[in-house]
Amino acid sequence: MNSVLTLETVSKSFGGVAAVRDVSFSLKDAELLGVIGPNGSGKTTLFNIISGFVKPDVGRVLLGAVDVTKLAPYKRAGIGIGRLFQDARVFSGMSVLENMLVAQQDEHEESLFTAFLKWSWLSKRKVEELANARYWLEFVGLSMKEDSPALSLSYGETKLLAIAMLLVRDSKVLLLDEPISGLDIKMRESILRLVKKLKTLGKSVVIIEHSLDFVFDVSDRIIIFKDGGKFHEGLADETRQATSLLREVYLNSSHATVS
Amino acid sequence: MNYVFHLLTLISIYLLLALSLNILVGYTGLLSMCHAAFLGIGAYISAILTLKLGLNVVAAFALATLSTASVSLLVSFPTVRLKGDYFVLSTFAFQIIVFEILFNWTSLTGGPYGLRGIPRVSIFGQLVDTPAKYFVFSGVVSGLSILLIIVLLKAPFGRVLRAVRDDEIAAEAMGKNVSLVKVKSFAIAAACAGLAGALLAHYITYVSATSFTLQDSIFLLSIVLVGGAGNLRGPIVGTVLLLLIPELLLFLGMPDTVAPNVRRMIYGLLLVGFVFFRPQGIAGEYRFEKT
Repeated sequence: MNSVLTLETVSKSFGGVAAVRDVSFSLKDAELLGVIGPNGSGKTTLFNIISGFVKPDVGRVLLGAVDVTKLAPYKRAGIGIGRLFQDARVFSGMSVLENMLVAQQDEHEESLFTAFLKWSWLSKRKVEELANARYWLEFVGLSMKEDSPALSLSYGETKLLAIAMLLVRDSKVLLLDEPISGLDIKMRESILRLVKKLKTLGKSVVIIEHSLDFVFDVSDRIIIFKDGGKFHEGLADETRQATSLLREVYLNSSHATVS
Repeated sequence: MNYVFHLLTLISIYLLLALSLNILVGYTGLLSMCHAAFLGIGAYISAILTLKLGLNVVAAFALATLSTASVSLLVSFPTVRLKGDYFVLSTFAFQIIVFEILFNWTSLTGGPYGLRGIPRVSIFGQLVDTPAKYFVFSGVVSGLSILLIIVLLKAPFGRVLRAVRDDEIAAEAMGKNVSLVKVKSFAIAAACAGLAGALLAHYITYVSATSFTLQDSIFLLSIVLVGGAGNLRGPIVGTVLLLLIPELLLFLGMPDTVAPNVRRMIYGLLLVGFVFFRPQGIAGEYRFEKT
C-alpha cells in the first residue's frame, strides 16, 4: 500500500536539547498508528513538525509524494493534514454550528470579492455546508448541541466537536494528540468508538495517547518514543505482549532516573 | 435646528469609525490604538488633494479611502505576528509617528496651523453647505459603507475573523492564513477610517493634527469598549452615548474652560468602570481578556 505520510530522518533541537532525533516512519493508507512513550519523549513535537508549527532542523516530511517540509501550517491543513490538539482547540466565541461552518469554508469563500459579489453562490454553498455540518455533528453525537456556544461544551464534547471539525474538512491524515486524556469512562467509550470508525472512513490516523489499553485496542501499528528517538516499532498485538520492553521504556527512561 | 443636524452629522461619521474599529477590536481581536491616525491620514489626504491639487471631491474621497488602506499595510505587515501587549504597543507607536508627521511636515500639512479653507462638497452642481444637507450626504456615504461592513461581517469572511480572534493556532490548523486575514481586516478598517476622515475634513473645512492624537484613538476605543465589541449594536450604542455626553454637560451650563476636562474624566472613568464591571460593554458580545 502507498504511504500517505512519510517522515525521513527528522530531527529538531530546542536550544541544544534534542526534542526529536533522527525519526523516520511512514503511515499507510487507512492505517492507525499509535505513538506512545513517556512525557517529554518528543511526541507532541513530532505532531508539531508534521502539522507545520515547528520546522525540523534536518529531514523531510512528505504528504503522499509531496514534500511539505517548508509549507506553512495552514497550507498543510489545506491539503489534508488535520490535527486534534491535546487541549482540543475550538473557537469559543462561536456556536457549535458556526465552528463547523468556519472549519469547512475555503479561501475562495472567505475572499472579499466573494463576500461582495457572489451572494447567490454563497447562499447555495451555505445550504450544502449546513447539511454537511449537521451530518458530521450527528456522526460524533453532538446534534443536540448545534446552537450551543462552544464555550458551554464539556471538555469531552469539545474534543468531539474538534474531531467533527476535522471530519467536515475531509482531512485525509488525522493527528490525534491524547484524545482521551482527562475524560470520564463514558466519554472515553464514545471517543473509542469514534476512532474505530475513522478507519472505516478511510482515514489514516496517528494517535498519541498515554492510555496503553486504548492505544493497543485501536492501533494497527505502534511506535514507542524514548528521549526523542524511535525506540521500537511493531505491530500492535506484538508490542502489547512485549511487557519487558514497555517496562523498560516507562520505568528506565533517563527522566525517571534523575531523582 | 442646525445644532441637531451638526450632531447627527458627527454621529454618522463616528458610527463609521466605531463600526470599522470594531472589525479590528471585536471581530479580529486586535486592540488597535491607531484608529485616529487613519482618520487623520484620510482627512489630510482628501484636504491636500482638493486644496493643493484642485482635485474634485469625489475623486479625493476615493483616493483618501484607498491610500489610507495602503498606509495600513505599514502597520499590519510588521505587527501581525505580534501578540497581545506587543501588538497594542506597536499600534500606539504608529499613532504617535503619524501625529508627529502631520504636526511637523509644515510645507505639506500646515504643521501646527493645520489646513484651512478645504472646499465644500458639491453634488450634481449642488453645494452641500448647510449642516442639514451635509447630514444627508454623510449619512448616505457612511450608511452605504456601514452596509458593506455588515455584508462583509455576515459573510464567511466575518466568520474567519472571529475564528482568528478566538484562537489563532486553531485557525491556522483549520487552513486559515491568519496573517493575511489580519492584514485584510486592518486594510478594511483603515479604509473606512480614511473615508470618515474625508467626510470630517470637508464638513469642518479645516484639519488640524491635534484632532488626530493618541487621545482621539483612545476615545474611539472607548466608544467600542463601552458600547460593546463583537457585534453591531455595541458600537452604535457607544457612539450615541459618548457623543451625547459632552452635549449634556453643555446643557448643564458648565463653562467652556472646565467642560473638556470634565469630559475626559468621564471618558476615563467610564472606560475603567466598564473594564472592571462589565468587560463586554453595554451591548457587546466579546469580552477582552488578557492574552
